[in-house]
Amino acid sequence: MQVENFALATCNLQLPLSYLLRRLIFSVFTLFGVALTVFLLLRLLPGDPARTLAGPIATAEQVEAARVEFGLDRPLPEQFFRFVGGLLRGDLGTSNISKRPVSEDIAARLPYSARIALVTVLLTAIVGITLGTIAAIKPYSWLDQLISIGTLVGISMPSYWLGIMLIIVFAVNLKWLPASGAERPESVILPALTLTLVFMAIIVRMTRASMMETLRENYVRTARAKGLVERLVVMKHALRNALIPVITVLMLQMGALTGGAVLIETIFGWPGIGLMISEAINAQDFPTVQGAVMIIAVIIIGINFITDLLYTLLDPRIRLGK
Amino acid sequence: MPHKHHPALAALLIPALVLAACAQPTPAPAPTQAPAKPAEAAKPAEAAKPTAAPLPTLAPLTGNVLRIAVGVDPASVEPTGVTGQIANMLDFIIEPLVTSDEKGTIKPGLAESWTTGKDGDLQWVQFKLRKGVKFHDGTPLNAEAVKVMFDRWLNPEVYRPTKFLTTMLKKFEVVDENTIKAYSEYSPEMFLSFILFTGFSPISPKSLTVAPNEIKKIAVPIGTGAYKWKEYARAQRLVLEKNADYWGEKPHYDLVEFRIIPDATARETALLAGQVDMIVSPPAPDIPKLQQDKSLKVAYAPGMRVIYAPFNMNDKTLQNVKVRQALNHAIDRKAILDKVLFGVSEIMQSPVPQAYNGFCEQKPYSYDPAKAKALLAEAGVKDAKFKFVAPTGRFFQDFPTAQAIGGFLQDIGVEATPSTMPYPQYVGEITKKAEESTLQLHYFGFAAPAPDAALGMFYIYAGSQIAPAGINTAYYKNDEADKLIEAAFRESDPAKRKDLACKAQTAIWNDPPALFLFVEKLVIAHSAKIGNIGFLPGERFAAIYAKPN
Repeated sequence: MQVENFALATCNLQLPLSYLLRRLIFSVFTLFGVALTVFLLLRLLPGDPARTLAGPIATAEQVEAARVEFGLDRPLPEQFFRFVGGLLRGDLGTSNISKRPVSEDIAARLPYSARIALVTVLLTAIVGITLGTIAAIKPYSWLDQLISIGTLVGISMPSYWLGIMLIIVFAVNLKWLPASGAERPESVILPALTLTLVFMAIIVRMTRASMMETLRENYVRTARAKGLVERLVVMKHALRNALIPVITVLMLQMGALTGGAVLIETIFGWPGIGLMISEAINAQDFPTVQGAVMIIAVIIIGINFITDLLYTLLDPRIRLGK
Repeated sequence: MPHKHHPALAALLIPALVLAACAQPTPAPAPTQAPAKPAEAAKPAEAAKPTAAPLPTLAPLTGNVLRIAVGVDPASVEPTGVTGQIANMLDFIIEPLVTSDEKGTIKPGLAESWTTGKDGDLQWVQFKLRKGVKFHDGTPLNAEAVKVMFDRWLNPEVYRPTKFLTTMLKKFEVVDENTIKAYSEYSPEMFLSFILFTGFSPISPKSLTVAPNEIKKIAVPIGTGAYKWKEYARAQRLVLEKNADYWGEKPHYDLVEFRIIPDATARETALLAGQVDMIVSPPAPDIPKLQQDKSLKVAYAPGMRVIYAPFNMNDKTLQNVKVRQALNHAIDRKAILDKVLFGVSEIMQSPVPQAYNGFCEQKPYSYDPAKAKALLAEAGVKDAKFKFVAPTGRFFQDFPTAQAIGGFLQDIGVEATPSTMPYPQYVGEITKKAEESTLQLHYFGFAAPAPDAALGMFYIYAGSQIAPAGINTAYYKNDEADKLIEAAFRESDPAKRKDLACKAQTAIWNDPPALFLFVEKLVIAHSAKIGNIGFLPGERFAAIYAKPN
């Protein structure tokens, strides 16, 4: 029945075009808002970026020369419109530090961030959903309590400390995995594991709650009444429905992790975009910060948009406004 | 109402995400090394052009590799603008005309000998270049190639870190194929100290006209060094390979990998895990533990950076020399060195580091709170309150040291609790015009571009360098010291020069513009299996001739 609805919706093109258009326009406004916010916040940062760029022993003349060279002497509206104009042309500007196109620097580092985000989300999904399901099947049991405590411990430990501990155990003492860098396939394991241990609690608890609610549904009761074994009831009927909100959260998590894993990238020497943004902020490299933040905003807004779009396609109640 | 969840949603979303995250364009070929053969010298730098596409997964290096973890990404390697660790990496590739040992004694480099002299108001140094030396692209090193380097130095479009450097070289002339004469307003001794600077290293003239290099900016330096540029992966590593045609002693390792790890703790764990052979600047609190590890060696470079706390000489209270001397007597530097700096520094004995050419030891400011209180009383100062700011993480244990200083000043009745701020803001704060500054005390560190006492005093104490024109953030003006420094710049006799520098140091020391604190040392840690690692002036390690023990 559910698959048929999906097929009908797609084949008959029952796509709410006005809804899509509205979402697209809102997305554009959102991106504009992000661009304005990051532009203004950077310029509100204390300190003189021209001085930072010219160097601490530069003379006043050199500082002013840097100000002109990097366009920092222009009025703010002009700087903003040049920035937005560049965005519309796909030009993210040139890094004040590396003197390379920002798009090149981002293209070099974004895949590494995406790799960590993807592996983390997959690990979190596999482990988190499994533990959440077990906890839902045996609520308030000792197993449920153990899972709850375990995941709370994970979320309570600072990621920086946890990462260092994993490095000491698996890299320094056991020498099973690399301590830093991204050159080996297994290099992603420790950083992803660190993030998984920190974020898993949300997924476990969400799966548990969603599963417990689904297991109380009438159709599940019907399935049990028909004599289906419990394993089939849980895995075939309840789990798939219970997972939808969980998977939505996982997708959003992936978007957030793509740009936000600065601490992990720092301690693991992982050449991701989060660390790049952090360094650019310290160096007052405005083009890099602006460009990277916009790319991350596009990714997150895009993921949200696709999620909503697919919900609309697949759930007639949302599509028909019921 | 039954929930109608759609597992197909998940079936669509997950593969889409996987494709999005994993999708990469066809990997571009990794940057290759510049060709070594003269026949291929036509396009040397083109082969090393940084790729515009996302980087492919890097292959781990195998074989005879020296792995060094550094904290800075060499994203910009323009020689005139590099300092610190990037300059250190370039030392493997490019070489100056003269070099020095650990003590700062000038020795021949690409110039096998030199003579000095005077010509009117100018002094000159005439360099005789080594014969038979070639750049990595096969271009011969000669006076014309050095001329190109000097031309770049005088080119206003080429970045240089400070204007003063451009006044160092007035003009030059090619005498013959292997001889070049450089003229300066300043003494030959000072000029030679300066020419150790990485920015003075000759670059292949031919390579300057081949992409990605250009006359104004160098992206891939083609030098004469023991190693050649092989591969650069942004934010990951810089790889150099041995120069088989090197004119000097051949190094042991075939490859050198500079692994970019910005975080000090991450560098330390990489060393402990055996992923790298050497690291720069391990975390301060872990140094004692690393020293006890028999599988490692910890080494300290001669200190090149003064750590001091400039006063605001515009403040009426601080204009009284007794107050400034009192504050200097209030600090127990030994206690800070032992408890906060883990022994990784030296106490300042002069306004310039001990390792600088022309250093003269001064009478120390002893830790004497009673004397400090007495001096304050003589000056009529009671319950002083100072605004004190310090950066965090910029210098070795900067904020913890500032907190200790605040504690010692509290003991003599001076309220000076330090606050902190992000470094860009901090620099803006301390380089404000004197009349706009609200600080009485701040915390700073400075290493001169060359290990010369007169130069070391000039940047941070000379009247002409008062912020924001320069980096004299104490707004200090001492006419006697200024005259002596200027005279030392131009004095050609080394003994007289040292005497002038000594007098300037004494003048400043006795009229202190700052709390004279410590001389910071560069610290490295490396595997005990590797030896022959030393240091060069300018906070640099010397690992070109590292080899297994």
